Amino acid sequence: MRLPPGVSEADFTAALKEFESAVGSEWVFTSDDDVNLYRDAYSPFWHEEEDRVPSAAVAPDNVEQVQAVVRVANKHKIPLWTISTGKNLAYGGSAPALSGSVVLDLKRMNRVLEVNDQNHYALVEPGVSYFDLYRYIQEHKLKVWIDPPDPGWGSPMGNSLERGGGRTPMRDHFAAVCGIEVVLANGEIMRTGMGAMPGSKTWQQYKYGFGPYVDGMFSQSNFGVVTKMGVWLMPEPEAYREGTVMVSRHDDLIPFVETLSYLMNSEIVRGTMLLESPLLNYRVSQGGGVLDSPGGPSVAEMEKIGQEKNLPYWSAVLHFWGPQKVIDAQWEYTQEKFSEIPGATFKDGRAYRFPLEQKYKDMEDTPLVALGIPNLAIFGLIQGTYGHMDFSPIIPMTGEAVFEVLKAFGEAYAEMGVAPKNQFFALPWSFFPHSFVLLFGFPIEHNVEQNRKSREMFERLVQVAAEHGWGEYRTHVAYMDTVANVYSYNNHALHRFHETLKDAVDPNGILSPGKSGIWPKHLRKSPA
Amino acid sequence: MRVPPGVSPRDFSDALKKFEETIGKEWVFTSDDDINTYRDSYSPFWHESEEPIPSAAVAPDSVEQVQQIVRIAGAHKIPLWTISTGKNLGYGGTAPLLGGSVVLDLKRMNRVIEVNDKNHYALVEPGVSYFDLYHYIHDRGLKVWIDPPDPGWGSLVGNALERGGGYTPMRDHFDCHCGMEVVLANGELVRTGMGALPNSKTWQQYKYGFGPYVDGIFSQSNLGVVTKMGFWLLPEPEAFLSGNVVVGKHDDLFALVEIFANLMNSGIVLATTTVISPLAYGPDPELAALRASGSTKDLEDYAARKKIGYWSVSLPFYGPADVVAAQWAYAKRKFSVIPEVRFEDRASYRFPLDDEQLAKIVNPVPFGVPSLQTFSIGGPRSQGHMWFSPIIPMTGEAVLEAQKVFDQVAKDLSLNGGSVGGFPVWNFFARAFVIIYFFPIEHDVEKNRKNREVFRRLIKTAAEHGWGEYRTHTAFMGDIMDAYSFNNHSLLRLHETMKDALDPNGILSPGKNGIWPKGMRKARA
Repeated sequence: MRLPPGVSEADFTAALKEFESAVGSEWVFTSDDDVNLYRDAYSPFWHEEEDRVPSAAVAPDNVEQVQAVVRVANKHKIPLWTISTGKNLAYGGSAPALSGSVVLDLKRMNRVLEVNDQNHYALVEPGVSYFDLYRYIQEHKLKVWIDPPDPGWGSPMGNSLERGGGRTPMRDHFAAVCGIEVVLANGEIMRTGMGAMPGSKTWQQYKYGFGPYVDGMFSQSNFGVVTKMGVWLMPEPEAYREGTVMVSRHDDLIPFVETLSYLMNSEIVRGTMLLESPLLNYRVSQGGGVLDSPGGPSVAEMEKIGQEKNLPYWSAVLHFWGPQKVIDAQWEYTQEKFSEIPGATFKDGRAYRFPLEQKYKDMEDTPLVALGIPNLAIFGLIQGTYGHMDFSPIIPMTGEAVFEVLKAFGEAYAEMGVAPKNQFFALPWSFFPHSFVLLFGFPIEHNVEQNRKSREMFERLVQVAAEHGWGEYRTHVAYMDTVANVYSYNNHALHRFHETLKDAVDPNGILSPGKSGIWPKHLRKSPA
Repeated sequence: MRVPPGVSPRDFSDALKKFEETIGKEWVFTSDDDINTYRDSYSPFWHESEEPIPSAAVAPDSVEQVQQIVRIAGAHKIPLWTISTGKNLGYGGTAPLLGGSVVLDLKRMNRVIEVNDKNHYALVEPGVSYFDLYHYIHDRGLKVWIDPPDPGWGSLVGNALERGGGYTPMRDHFDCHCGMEVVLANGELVRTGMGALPNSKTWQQYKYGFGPYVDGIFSQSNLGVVTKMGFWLLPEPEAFLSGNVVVGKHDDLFALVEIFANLMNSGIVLATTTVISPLAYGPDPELAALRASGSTKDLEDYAARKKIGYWSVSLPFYGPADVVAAQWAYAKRKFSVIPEVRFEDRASYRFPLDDEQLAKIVNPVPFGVPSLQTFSIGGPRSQGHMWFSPIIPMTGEAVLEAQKVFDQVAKDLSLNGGSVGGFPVWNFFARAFVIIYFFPIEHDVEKNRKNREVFRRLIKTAAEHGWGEYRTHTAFMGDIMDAYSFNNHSLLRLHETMKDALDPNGILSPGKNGIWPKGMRKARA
């Protein structure tokens, strides 16, 4: 029997028995076969001792059972690692940060409690997946959209609490959260925002309630177990259309991003866009990389290739949702603004009216995620590796910052001796307002040496990013300490603040030890 | 000398001396004349002994001075009541909740640290007023708008931390903040979000940072002293258009609000407006009589005869001229399902406005221009006011129910409330309405006593219907927090757990939003 660290076999056996009486013996998993399912399928420590393996898993069916499980854990000081569906594969899946933790698996709590299509919100439990919520809405013929991430098998609650992003105007998932129910480490149940008022009529309609607004504390954290969450939905729009903007010269990126920033911050262009470079993609196809490798072709040489091959240096597909005439006018205005960049060109893209006809749902080139339809197509795109983890720093939404990124990470790769063609770099996304985020997929193999190399590279990039003032918005459990450690302003004042809160709300340190670098007192390392 | 509760005159003198050494004698105020300026000029306890009066005030000039003051206060257990500019008249002004607190007045920290008109944000200190920031932007010709509340003399930091609202698409002020710097009760300096990363490039561009997102716990709270705050600004739009939607029947409200909610939640209407009944106001004696005793049918007939409508909502649109025109056209198409709905084109502007155009606009606040024009509203009717501001669902049913319920309270207690939409509903925040109800304050003890009674009764009545206030005057913070009592006040108990952990001596703004330090907590019913 695998044991949680610092827990005696007798105590653990007693706790498991109490878990069984709380949730039923069929929902407490201790066999190797069962527990292995909770390992991280994309673990960067595959076949290595450091691989995080849970000691057991427990799957309650309701809030009362969660309270009972937490109380048992508190009594026996058993570390619990909470997951909703555990599908955030590139960030650790269902595996704990601390080996030997008991996974508190909330997948059975999968009730859609309410969907309102007049005020446009849903109230869901942790185990509800994007598919579940989508199907519920379809079956009830409600005129609202969800905002799935790709892939759509995860949980709106898990994704929002990890502060993930989607594609539609509701893309910032934590920003769309309105009201939560939390089980605290002492087993107490609490509701936030207007939910703190018994019989409240606006729990899912007004976020803040009265007094301190605490919801954010429960995101990327280990201060409580969230058991219900309100989420704002988008009313079904009348139409959707896309348009592509292309510019030809390297330095055009500066006015390009400035214009983009103006349009996004004005709510004229909404949703998530990806900056692209047909020219750099060409370089990749020739064995080069997206990043600026030292000794690579000069800007002038690249621009010349661009001219010859008729490849824009930079481009972006922009997305518009809304009444047909409004989005037509928005795209028109967008082109007008970008036309201030000499040589900018434009291309109309896909367009749909809603409700969407079934034939479009079945077509391969329909951008389902952008139309609020969850799917698993993303898994077809990631090829050539066994798995991946994401390196995802936030950078300013400026052309200058993109140039700096290409250079800084290009140099880092060169120093580490990684060939340009082996870089796994993509240009920035706009998953959140006012900034860019890079999603940098790191391959995971079932090969110890390669994984060691990847980990070294990952650690290096976190440091390089921090030296430039860029920090990650989220990370794999294996790097939570590394990333938390670079958020070190004033001798780690924010981190110490988190620890103070942790000690106050979870004195036994039973909830998700190590989550986002926050450890209970007895497991804290002395700071460097 | 007035002394904070539980502090000996000697300890207090010591503390004052240390305050003086830290920030200079001229910035520590102890004379009655000086202290009186920190009293709530709209206090509902005017001329009564319950009026909370500060013992002193201190006005630091820098973050380091704030840290030192907090450390001194911690050592001597002096309660501090933090204000940025203290202009939220109607919710308590500069006065503390606990009489004898020392006001920590941050008005001298009034530096605009940065305004960026490429990524559209500002970084400011607590003493920066909407006027200050507006002038800064205007003087430099930057193409960004601020979102002032009315009136505009208050502070961005103060208003956002109290979760106030404005009128443009950036109306939810707390939501539009990005990144904070906070002095904790132990004097430590924390930066939140990306500010926790030394030399961060995105402190004002990405809110959450890494790990728990803690900013919210410093709003409407007493867990720290915020010394810097980032704000997202609106890029100057090309144009503004507003159109009025008028419907004639009482029951048209249901469709009116449902379509309105759809437009708001779709991002088609992005700014603040109010759903009103033109029947709620007006001096016509016939109308007044109908309001008092008439039937819905009578009122509908009156509205039809006078062509004023039973309900109306004015829709504001900001953006490119062709886009706002298309938005208004679409809104009209949606509202056209209501029989006999009428539309009126209202204002239409292109930006920037020149000084001459601006001078003609009575209320420039919706165009990002701070103003004090709002004070012309309440002046003659009373010496002051406070606000009753419950959140209600954005549905016609809820609006009617709230009107009926609050109207009954007003009638029962013979308050000068109106009927038929006399409790105006606003959309200062996404997805819900907030009622902003004006409560007069007089320099008359009996009237104020009566008003306080009514106010408490309204809080209770609202709670019975599942409606809670979003903000309140310091005098009623305890009453309102009490109504947020789910599971034996479990949220308040979490606040108290945090308070004890972060501020064990209970020196920061005791009583704020109902959160008291351990020693001052009353037993809960």
